[in-house]
Parts: sequence; structure tokens; C-alpha cells
Amino acid sequence: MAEIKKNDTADLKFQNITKKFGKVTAVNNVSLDVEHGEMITLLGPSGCGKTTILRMIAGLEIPTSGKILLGGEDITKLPANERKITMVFQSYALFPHMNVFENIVYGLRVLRWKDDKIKDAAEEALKLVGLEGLSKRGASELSGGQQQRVALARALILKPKVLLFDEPLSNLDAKLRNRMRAEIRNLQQELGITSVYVTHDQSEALAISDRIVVMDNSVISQIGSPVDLYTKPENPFVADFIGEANIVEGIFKGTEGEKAVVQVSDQEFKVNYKNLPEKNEKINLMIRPEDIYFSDDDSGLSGNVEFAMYQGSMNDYLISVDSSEIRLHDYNYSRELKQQNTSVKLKVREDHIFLIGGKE
Amino acid sequence: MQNIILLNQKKPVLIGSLIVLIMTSVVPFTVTGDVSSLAALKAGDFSGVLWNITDNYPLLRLLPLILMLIIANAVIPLKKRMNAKIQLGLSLAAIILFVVHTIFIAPELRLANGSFLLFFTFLSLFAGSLSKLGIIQGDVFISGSVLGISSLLIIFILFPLFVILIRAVAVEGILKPGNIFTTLYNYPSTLRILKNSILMSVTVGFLATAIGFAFALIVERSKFRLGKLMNAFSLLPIITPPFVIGLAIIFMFGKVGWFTSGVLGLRVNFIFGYVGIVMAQTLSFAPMAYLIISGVIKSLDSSLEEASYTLGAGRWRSFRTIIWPLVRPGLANAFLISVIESLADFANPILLGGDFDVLATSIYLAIVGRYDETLAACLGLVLLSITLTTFLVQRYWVGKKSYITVTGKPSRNKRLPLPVVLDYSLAGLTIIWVLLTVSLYGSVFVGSFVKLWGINYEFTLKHYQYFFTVGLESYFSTLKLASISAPITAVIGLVIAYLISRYHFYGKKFFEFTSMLSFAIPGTIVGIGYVMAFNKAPLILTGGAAILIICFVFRNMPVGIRSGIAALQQIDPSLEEASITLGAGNFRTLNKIILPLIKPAIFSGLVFSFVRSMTAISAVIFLVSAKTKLATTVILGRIEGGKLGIATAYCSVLIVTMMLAIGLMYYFVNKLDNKNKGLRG
Repeated sequence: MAEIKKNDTADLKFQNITKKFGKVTAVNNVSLDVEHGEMITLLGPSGCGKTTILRMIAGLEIPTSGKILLGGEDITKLPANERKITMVFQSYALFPHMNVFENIVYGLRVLRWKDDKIKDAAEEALKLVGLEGLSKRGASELSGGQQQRVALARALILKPKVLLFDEPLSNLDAKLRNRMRAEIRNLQQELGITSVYVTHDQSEALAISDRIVVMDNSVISQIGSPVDLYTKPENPFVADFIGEANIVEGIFKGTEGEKAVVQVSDQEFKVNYKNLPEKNEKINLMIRPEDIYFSDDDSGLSGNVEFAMYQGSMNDYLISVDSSEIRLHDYNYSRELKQQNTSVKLKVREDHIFLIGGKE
Repeated sequence: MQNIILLNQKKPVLIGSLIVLIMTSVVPFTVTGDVSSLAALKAGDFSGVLWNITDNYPLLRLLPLILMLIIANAVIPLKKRMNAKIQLGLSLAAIILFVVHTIFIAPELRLANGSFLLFFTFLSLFAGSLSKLGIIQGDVFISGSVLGISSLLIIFILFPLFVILIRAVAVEGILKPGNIFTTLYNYPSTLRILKNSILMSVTVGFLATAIGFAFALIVERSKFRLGKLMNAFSLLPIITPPFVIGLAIIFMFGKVGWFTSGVLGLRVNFIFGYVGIVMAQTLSFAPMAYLIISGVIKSLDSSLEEASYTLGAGRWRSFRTIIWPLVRPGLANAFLISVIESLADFANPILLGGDFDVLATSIYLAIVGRYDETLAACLGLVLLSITLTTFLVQRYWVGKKSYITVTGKPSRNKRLPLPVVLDYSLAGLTIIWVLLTVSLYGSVFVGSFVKLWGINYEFTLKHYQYFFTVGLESYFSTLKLASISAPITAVIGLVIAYLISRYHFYGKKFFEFTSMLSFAIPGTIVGIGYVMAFNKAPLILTGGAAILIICFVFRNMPVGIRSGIAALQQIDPSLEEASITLGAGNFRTLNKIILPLIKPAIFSGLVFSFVRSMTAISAVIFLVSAKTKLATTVILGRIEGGKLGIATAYCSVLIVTMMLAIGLMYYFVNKLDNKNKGLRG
């Protein structure tokens, strides 16, 4: 028993992969290392190339150029059925004419396993995903969450070298989605299986990944841990795609210790940075809506409330400062909703602001 | 695990090649004398075996030699890709050698089973190395199917057309393109035939489309619920043997017709010629036009019309400004397809044409009456260029102008009422149509039980007695050939549909186009093409049953492809991808995942190709021989001999046979559908 837990998972390397469909470049010169046992998420808007990368790992698409290495071995042109890389599909892709058991053991039948061994493995797999006793059910007699688990068991039973997830939770309702993502993450960590996960939902990506690869327009925009991406986005796209962000223009004035000094309107901020720009250069600051708050006194940035919306857990404001607009989330809900066209003063949690841009 | 995979890949190459190598010493490579290769094998006659003809054809020695090298390559482990590259080179060399040898070096050598075996072995070895090197995406099953089917398409669809072209321009061994025009110019009837053909096909196109449109409106939109009735009637032309409608028209409206002579007391002969052909063809093709147009009307989103009403337009205005422009591409489609069918139709013009000769019949008469193959080839090219142009216009221009897939969302199909006047006149038309159809089919059925139609209406069974004495042989041989060809058609059609809808490979456009092309090639052309192409070495097929089966398969293939594509569109491609990522090959995926899910489509494809084979006439009339008679050609013979009673009896038997086949199909498809529904919950 415990066969599935003894997997022979491997690391995965993408070397200068380009994929073209006719004249359209879906993936442009992407290099990426997925470490042994790591859960990496490809995140980006639809059409950014993330699914194409996943399908190239699976062998369902062949790259136009570049190499894919699995455990050091070149698998770029290896047929999909010989890769030992399995996938959980967005639609689950359960075979409608087979019951749960037959679905799960499909891959073992291909390998011509003995019936009793197959039975044991199936039991173990069902237990792993918490579906004991449902093996005789038809695939269509299951709830969405159960179908998802069957798809997962079916992929895990083959002890794949890499496990792929193609937006596996997008067909579930919000509550089930949160629960399933926790389960998937737990299982992945327990088994220590190298996994690549595709999603366009940033909160899902933040919740389950060791590292996130943000993709935009067929290239990688930034790679990093969830915390890194949220607090230190390297470009406006990442800042805006992960969470909500105000991109505020400012002028770089110089450094002060570990911080960069930036002037916005008539205020100066001391902020975090990764790369430094030229002095007096125009730069962007990334300020999360929850890191701006109404000043208690008369100091701070002057602004005017353009829109005010009650959102339950917080009040959501759009405030004009000079010619730009800033979004503000006020979680202090004991405070009354400010009316439109009120003049306000704003303060910012300086240690949460990040300077975007500059040269490496 | 790696080792097992490696072994699994090499074993088939090794064992398969060894078996083929052994078989080449037994199965004749060529046919000596008039004995078929199977008979030679039985008689222990090895004179046609590869080893025994290499004295005359020394180059052929290379073929088994290359095969041995491939076996050696499979045994010796080199780097993985190196082995595949060597196999690629060797098998390609063998294929080129084979083709060049057959076409240029020894065209007089008549090929037999042993040579086909070798050719397809090298082809699959080549395919295997292509997929191993990742040149074709997919495994050996995919690349093998692409190459294998492409060769068959080239041999049995393109090659015959090429031979017709050559025959039209060859004058005493020299190719003169101008010969087409001199031949046509010197033949006095060319212009008349061309005018007749165009007049006939355009009239029929308009009438069939108009009637089809009327039926589609009635079924989809009218408050009179005539849908079930019309759908049953639209099946009729499919199960109707050729000549039935023609015979019925003669019985009802001919010189001694029940209606013209019996009811009106006239003795007129107007049906032989333009009027009769147009009548018969319109009756035959309107249901097909109806099916095309009703598909378009069904997919119109009724909220478009509702939007039009809410914007203040009335029923007529909405019809004129919304429905009409949206269905226009569908109407054009139906029109062009009716034109193609009309031009390709052989049975009605030969029966009712009289002096009104059209292209399809003139080609037949050029061969059968004047023994003039060059004239037949030239007329054939004229016919082919007209149908092909129409086909291209339909496929690439009108076909693309459809508005239907704009939203991609399933449209709601609410029944919105038609303008009242339109509704009643359409209903009236439908009733007239139904009465006409019933009386026509009835006349054929009744006609088979009376002594002499129009003269002596006494009941008799003698036509059926006669059928049982002389007709049974051809009946059963037709049944047999249709039953053999139907599964082959269904399998090839399904594989092509699978390749087209799921895979991308080099030359896919050509592959798709050629496989659907046989729809645009009139049967008459296929017939003369096959006769000219396959009556001499290297490939002699005429005179046997094989050429009829091949003809059925490639003529009916588009039916199988269409139903296959339609069925595959219903299946989420990620099911197949799931199967493949779980380690299954393409063949296993097709067999275990796709086939069980599209069983109903396969079954109906099977039955429709069976039925089409049973009713084929235009191509096979050139291919039948004394040994292999077909029902339709026997019926034509009886009609030409003036024995209409026997012809109607035979037709009635065929109609009943086909009704049984179709009924059986609906029974099983429903059963399968219910079973699938149970699975899906």
C-alpha cells in the first residue's frame, strides 16, 4: 500500500520555448525551471499563453522551437502518452461511458496491470481523494466536486513525474472552490509531487503556489513567491493583475538609507524599491487600496471623493488627487460612508509602497 | 518502465517486417496469366512471387533487401533518434523505388496482393518513423492513417480524373491540349447538350430550393404541425432506387398515364424531355434542399425576430428584413447542391430524356453507343468543370457567407408565427406535395401487381415470379457488395473525420478537399475514369467485384465523413487528451473513448452508405460485368427491354429492403441513444 506516495516525480526545465500557431505567437522564448516537488502556477489573462505552456508540458502541443527537459531528459518531441505526465482538465474530462472505478484505472489498464493490483491501487486512490465507496457510480452521477476528485485520483494513480492542472476549479461554485484548492494544495504537499497549475484567478494562485509565473502577451512578466509578487511587483501589469493596485506617478528624488525618496503632488514618501531610476526621473509607485487611509488631521495628500460605494466588509472609494484617480478601501466600517464630492486628506503606509521601474 | 516502452515500440517493427518478408516469398507480387493472386496462392503457383520475377525486373531485388536492413536497424540499438532516422530514410527509399518502378520502369507489370502488402508495409514503417521523430504529431496510428488514406485517395479519386484528362488530350501518343476543343467542336451536339444541361440544372435548382424553403418554413414555423410528416417524406429519396420516380411519372402522366389519359382523357407525350426530367429531379432533390434550409432556419435565433417586433415591424416586414436575408446563404447553398445533383443525375435523364440529351447521358452513350472514349473523356471534362466550379463556389464562397455561427451561443428556438397568408399557402402546397408523392409511389407499387399499366389493370403476381427467377441473383449480389462496402466506408469515413477534426498535419487542406471531392464528381465521370484507369497494368480491377466495392466506398465516403465530423463535434476534445496523457495511444483512444460515444453516428453512417450503394447507378453502370450484376443495372435493362412491370416489381422489393434497413437503424440508434443518456444522467 501507500504506493501512490512513493512517486518518482522529477524536475522540469523549459529552455527558450517558442510556440507559433500559424502567424500567431502563443508563447515567445520562455525559459522556466520547475523544481522537484514544487507547485508552480502559471497566472495570466486569457490568451497570454499559459495554457499553451501547460499543453506543451503534457505533450499535447509540440513547441516550434526550444527544449523541454524532464529530470534532465529531453522530452520535447516525446509523444504525450509516453511522458508519464498527467493532467487534471478544466472540464474534468471524465469518460461519460465509464464508472468511477473504470475512469480511475484507465491508465493502469493501458499498462496491463493485473486485476487485483488494479483494485488495490484504485482503493488507495479513492481513499486519497476521499471518495471511498463511490467506485461503482457513473461519472455523470457525481457532483462537480466529486468529479473533480475523480479526475485528480485518475491523474495521481499513475504516479506521474509531473502533475498538471488546467484551471481545475473554474467550474465549481465559490465556496467549493476555496475548499478544493486547500485540498489540492495539501495533497500536493503530502505527496511532494512536481505540479504546474494554470489559472486566471489571482487569489487562487496566491493561495496554493510555491511560486507564481505571471504571464502577459506570450512572455513571462515576473516569477516569484506569492508574497514577492504581491508586495514587490516589477511592473504595472503584475501590480495590477495580482490584487488591486493604484499606479501613482511620482518623481524620484534620491535614496535615504534603504528607502527611495519619491515626490507625489506636494508630499514626499520613503518607499521600498528593487531597482533605482535616474535622479528626477518620472517613476510609478504601486499603492494597494488597503494601504491608503483617511488622515485624522489636516496633513496628507489632498483629494476629492469621486465615487463612494458601500461593499459590506469595507467602503470602496475613488478619489481624485491632482489629475489622477486613486482607489481606497476603508476597512474601518464603523466609519460612515463619505459622500461624493467631499474634500479629504489621505495618508499612506509608506513601508507598503513599492517603486516600479528603474533599471536593473 | 522506460525499457518496456522501448521494447513495445520496436517489437511491432521487428515482427511485422519479418512476417512480411516471409510472406513476400509466398504471396504473388504480380499476376501471371489470368489467375487472381488468391487463386495462384491456392494452386501453389509461385511464378508471380517477387523472387521469381527479379530476373526480368532486377531493381525489385532492392525491396526485400531494404526490408532486411530495416529489420537489422530494429535489432541493433543505436541512439533512439538515430534508429528512427535510419528507418525513415530506408522506408522512404523503398517507397520511391516502388512508385518510380511501377510508373516509369515497368508500367506493364500487373500488381497483385504481394506488391500492395510490401507498399503498405513500407508506408507504415515510414509513418512510424515520422511520428517517432515528431514530424507528424501523434503516434504511428495517426501518421499511418494519414499516409495510407492519402495514397488511397490519390489512387482512387485523383488518378482516374488524371487518366480522363490524359485520354482527352492524347492523340496517338502525343499530348495536345487543343484536342479537347477540336473533339467537342467536331461533335455536332456539343452546344445543344451543354444548353440542355444548364437549362435543366438551373430550373431544378430553383424549383427544388423554392419547395425546400417552403417545407422548411412550414416545419419550423407554421402553426400547422407537419414536422414529423415532412421528416418522413424527406427520407424517401434516399431509399428510392433510381428510375422509381421516372417510372411513376410515366405511369401517371405518360401517354397511357393514369392521370393524363385515364382522368383527363388525353394522349400526350410531353413528359419525355425537359418537363419530365425537371419534374422527376425536383421531386428527388427538393427534400434534400429542405434538409439544408431547415438546418439554417432552426439555427436562427428567434430573439432577432422578437427584437424586430419590439422595434415596431410587423410579421411581413420582419420576414422580409430579418428571416429572408439571414437564410439567403442557406438558400444559395441548397440551390448549388441541387444543381450539382441535377447535373450528376443519370437515371432520370436516361429514362425520361427522349431527345433532350444532357451531359451525363451523352457520356454514357459515347461509351456504350459510339465506343468513343476520347469524346466521353472530353464531355466528361466539361461536366466535371461545371460541377467542380459549382462545388467550389458552394464550399468556399457561399459556405463562408453563413451568418449562423456568429454568436456561438445556442439559439433559442421559439416558434414565432408566420404571416397568415403565407402560412396557409405553404400548408396548401405541402398537402399537394404529399398527395403527389403518395400517388407516385403508390402507382409504382400498384404497377408491380397489374398486368400492363394503362392497358390492363388485372391483378397478377407474374412480375414477382419473374423477379424470383431472374432477379434474385443480382439482388443478392447487390446486397452482398453493399454490405461489404458499408463497413469499409464507415471506418474510412470515421478515421478521416477524426483526422480532419482533431489533428493538424502537413497537407491537411489537400487531404480534406480530396476526400470531400467525390461529392462533386458526377458518378458518370467516376465510372469512365475507373474503366479507363483500371483496365490495364499496373492495376487491373475491371470485371470483378473489387472495383464495385472500391467505387461504392469512395463514392459514399463523404456521407461517412460528414456524420463522423458532426458526431465528433459533440465530444469534448479534452476526453481524448485525458486518455492520451493517461498513457493510451491514439488507436486505444479511438477504440475505447471515441467509438463508444459516437456509436449512433457510426451506425447511421453504415446504413446510409449501404442504402446509397444499393441505389447507385451512374458510376457502376460502367463497371458491372457478366459475373457481377447489380440490381439497378438489371432494372435499367428491363426498362430498356420495355418490361416496366418487372422493373416496378424489382423496385418495390428494393424499397422494402431499404425501409427495413432504415427502420432497423432508427431502432438501434434510439436504443443506443437511450443507453448513452442513462450514462450521462
